[in-house]
Amino acid sequence: MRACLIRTAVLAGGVAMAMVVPGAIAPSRAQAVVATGVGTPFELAFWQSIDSSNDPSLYESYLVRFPNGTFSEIARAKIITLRGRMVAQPAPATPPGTVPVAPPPPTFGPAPAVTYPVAVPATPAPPLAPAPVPAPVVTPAVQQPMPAPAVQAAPAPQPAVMTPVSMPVPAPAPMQPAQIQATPVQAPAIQAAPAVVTPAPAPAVASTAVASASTLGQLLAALANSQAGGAPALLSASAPAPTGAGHAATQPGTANSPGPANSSGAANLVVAPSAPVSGSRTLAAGFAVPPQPVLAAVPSVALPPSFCSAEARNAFHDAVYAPSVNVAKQNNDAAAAYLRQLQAMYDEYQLSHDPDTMNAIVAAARGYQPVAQTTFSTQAALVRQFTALMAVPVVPCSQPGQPPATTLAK
Amino acid sequence: MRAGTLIAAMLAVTGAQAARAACIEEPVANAARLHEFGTLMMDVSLRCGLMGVTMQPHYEDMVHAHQAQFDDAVRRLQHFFATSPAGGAEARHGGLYDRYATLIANRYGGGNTSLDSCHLLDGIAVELARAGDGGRMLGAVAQAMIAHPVLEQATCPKQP
Repeated sequence: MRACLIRTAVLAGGVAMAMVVPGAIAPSRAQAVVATGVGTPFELAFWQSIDSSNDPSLYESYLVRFPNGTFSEIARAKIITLRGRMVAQPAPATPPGTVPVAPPPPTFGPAPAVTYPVAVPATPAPPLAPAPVPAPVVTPAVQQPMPAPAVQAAPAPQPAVMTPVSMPVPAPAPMQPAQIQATPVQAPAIQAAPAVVTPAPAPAVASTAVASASTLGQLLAALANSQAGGAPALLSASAPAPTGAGHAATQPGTANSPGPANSSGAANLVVAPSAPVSGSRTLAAGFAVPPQPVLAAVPSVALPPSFCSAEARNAFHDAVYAPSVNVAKQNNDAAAAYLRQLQAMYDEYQLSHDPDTMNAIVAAARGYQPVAQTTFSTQAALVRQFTALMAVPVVPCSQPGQPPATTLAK
Repeated sequence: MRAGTLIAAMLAVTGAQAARAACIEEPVANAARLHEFGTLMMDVSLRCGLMGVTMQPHYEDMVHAHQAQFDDAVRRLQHFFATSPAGGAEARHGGLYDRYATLIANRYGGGNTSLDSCHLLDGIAVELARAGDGGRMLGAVAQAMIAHPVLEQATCPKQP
């Protein structure tokens, strides 16, 4: 019953689009086999968490769970090897019959710095050609923060309007596989079992077991984090904060992707600096809406009719275009961060039964959305302008009527 | 079963982390963790189904295998919200719990799901459905995946 209720709530929103279409072809179990040939991903994760261990009990655990698993033969060989070495060189301080256990919690103390096995986008190599790095395609549907752009690349704008504060509206599930980014959790490559295993003392074995468990835990935590991307969608103007019972499921909204901005026009590229809120608006409950970020003016980029050379175009890119894009990106990032901050505050007050504060946050976010849309449009327009920049013809300056390159990079 | 060695080690690690969340009672935190994990798996199963990974039957098997644990978690959370001093009439009528459940569903309603993550989570669902250890493995996985549940973040004061 509970699952049905929640599922109903979820399906009422965008996740409903993720329902399995009746009659759809059910993939076979063979699809569960990962590309590495391992039986199940869990088996792979299990094995990877123990394959560097010198504790034979871990391999026994693997065999118990996966008696006919992909690595069962390796596990049996390792057990024989490790047991043989442990007999030849018994651990000095291990009482008979004891099982290597985790050290007491103080050994681990604070949580270790979690380094999620996240697929890091490879930094593109510097371009061999002297031409500027092309700007990435603007993808308003991006839901994750963009990685740091390359040095010369025009950063793709992160749509600030995708993460504004709103009532808790189910965010749409990714519908098209083409829009789905690379999985943030990449299972590390399978390592071959070492031919020679050096036995470790018993305490080290216990530590290894815990370390393996910690690795598995980190993998699971990263996996969970990758699924926690459901940011509520845009505000609905008629969606005030709930003031009574029965408002848990809120008005469905639409995740407005920012509309295409004007692709050209220097006037449209200038973002008027947003006047920062002087002081904070304090509510009766003692809550203060954070001040809006200060946005910088984005220099306009006026393309010349031609360049004297490819080097002149590159100079223009470095001196005029790239700085303008950077300013626009900083503005957009700041706007997105501000909306995320409001979103976090809204989420924090979700359970506080404080509709006044929630409505104040909603109003602040609603008021800031035009600014956020402008910052996004500005950056998107600049990114699109890269194509126009590269389309400017290169005409040798020796020909009459061509402006010198120095005047182009103003 | 020696598989417990790894899980016990995981529990030792994650238990040390969870011990810091003392502003809500540990059973409530565990219930929130389990409920959040179940919602995560439900949302993921829906998304993965659309992508061609038939995960929903495995998710349902997992829920069925651990129905008692999931139901107990819901009861704990409902009691927690029903007795919340801030809830008032809304809390007594279950509004706060409903709002919380929706919040959790929204949190995992738009995750970055890929075929790889679908297969991984599907494998976890299969393993949990098989585990007949009284919820021990389920608790360990939920502990590892949901280290800090939303309820803890919403109710505990922020650390400076």
